[in-house]
Amino acid sequence: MIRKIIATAAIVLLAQAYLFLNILPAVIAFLLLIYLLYICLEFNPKIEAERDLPEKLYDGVRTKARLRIKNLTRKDYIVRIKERLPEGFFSEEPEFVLGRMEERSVDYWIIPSRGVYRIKGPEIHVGDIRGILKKKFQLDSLKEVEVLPSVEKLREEAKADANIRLSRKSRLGTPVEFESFRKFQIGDDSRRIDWKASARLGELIVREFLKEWEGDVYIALDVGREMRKGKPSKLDYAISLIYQISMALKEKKLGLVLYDEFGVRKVLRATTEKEKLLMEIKFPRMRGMQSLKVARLRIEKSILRKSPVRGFSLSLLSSIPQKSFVIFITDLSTNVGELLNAILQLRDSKSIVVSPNPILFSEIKMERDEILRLYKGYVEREELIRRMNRIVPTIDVGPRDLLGEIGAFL
Amino acid sequence: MISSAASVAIAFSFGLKAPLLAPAVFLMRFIKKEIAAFSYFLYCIFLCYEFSRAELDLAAIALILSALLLLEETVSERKREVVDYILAVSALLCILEPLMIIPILLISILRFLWKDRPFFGIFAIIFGISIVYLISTKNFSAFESIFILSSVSAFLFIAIVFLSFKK
Repeated sequence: MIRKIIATAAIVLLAQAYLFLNILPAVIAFLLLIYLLYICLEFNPKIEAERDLPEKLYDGVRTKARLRIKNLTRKDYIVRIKERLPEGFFSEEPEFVLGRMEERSVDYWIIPSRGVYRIKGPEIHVGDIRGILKKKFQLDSLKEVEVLPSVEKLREEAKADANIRLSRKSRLGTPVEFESFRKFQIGDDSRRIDWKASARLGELIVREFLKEWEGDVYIALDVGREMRKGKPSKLDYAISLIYQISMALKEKKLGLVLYDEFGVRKVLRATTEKEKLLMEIKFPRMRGMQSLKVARLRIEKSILRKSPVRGFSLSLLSSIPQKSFVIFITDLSTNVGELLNAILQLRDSKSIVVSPNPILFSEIKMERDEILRLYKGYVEREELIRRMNRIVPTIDVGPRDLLGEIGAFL
Repeated sequence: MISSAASVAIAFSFGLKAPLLAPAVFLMRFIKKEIAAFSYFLYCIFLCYEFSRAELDLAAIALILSALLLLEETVSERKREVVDYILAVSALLCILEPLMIIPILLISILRFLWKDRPFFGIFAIIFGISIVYLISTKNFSAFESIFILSSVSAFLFIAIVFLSFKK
């Protein structure tokens, strides 16, 4: 690049000399070309190199590789080491100045991925001290390495997973203050059953605790096409879930926000007459197969974007009073970025996302060809849920999961 | 660094503005070398636009040497030594005695050459100096000088392309 810029400068300066009949640019241009010629004539790197790599590596663990390199000329060079590693490997690309006749050992790290591989020698890019010319050397070594699973890494991952669960629980607040006893209802968390009271009264009794949040509960329900497909549809499941939530909330006020792929359809203010809210969810089932396509989540982009995607707006969600508890029920098939935007706007409210998993709701027969497609969709969805969880607690649910399974969050 | 100081001294001595941009070009190297090279390209154009000569005189030689040294200092990754700082200060002091700029610039260029330990490159330098000496001593008109320089430059260009391809 620098060579091209200098050569272009020489041509432009010669043109300038002709145009203005000025000798100065012509001399500078001529000397620039002499300078380039000088560098070309002087650049003749000769090196000797050898790389050491352990035979046994551990998956995901930084391993030190050592390159011994010797400059056989009386010139200084800029050296850059570039490893040609199998897919899934990562490595540092060290760059340093190698002095004349200097012999040097350079350590750099490699992060391997599990398996047995034959690793070729690294590429050594040698450039002149001015960075104008470069020459590539290839080490001809071929080494077989075995990358074993790392127990340490597995332990760390297990610990991180436990931490995520713990943080999720603490973020939502675990009820601590006892309020009263009541009869067991379907969907109640079995851990809240008071066995002594149940034995005394001869029926299942559960303990009630005071909730940590004080505001109203709002349910933002996705009533889009995908939610309405199938029999029973994800919307049917969502309605039964809302019913359970409304029963569990007792005197607390419940509000409802209905939205689809085009934006917010209806906002129903929080009220104690919860049955009326359920009557508002009048959306017909849709025909057709459920899409297993997982929406792409570009968190950074969508958070930075000030205006929502054309044709889709969840801006009405901002009308939800602050300090509310908002439960989003959506299959996350579309507009995930905008949903996250809306969640982030609800700053003083607590939010969770309950997401009916389209794969668990699908009616696809478990045939040989379908399994791979299902598996692929499942993995993609797992990744989406994992990324969502970094921002907002997200629960992936199937048709058999009732309030009991997600009760820990509520 | 030496070239920047020398350019500033030249600017004050000969009442020019463009050489005052040299320190900025030099500083660009700390951002990216490609940007520095492009800035150098623009610097040369500004410099030649401001300073017009039909034949080479002392000021022109000083400017040419400082411009060449500026390119070397901008692209080179060599570490600076104490001598470089002393030369830079000396170059700056040449505001008082402009004639001293040329020897200081020549010493600096020779130092760079010494560090490089050139072999074949020496011939290129000798060739370059001979051509510049030829056009400055013979009484060529400005057009003739430019024509000679551009003709030789065309051959140099081909030689560079050939050598780069070979290496």
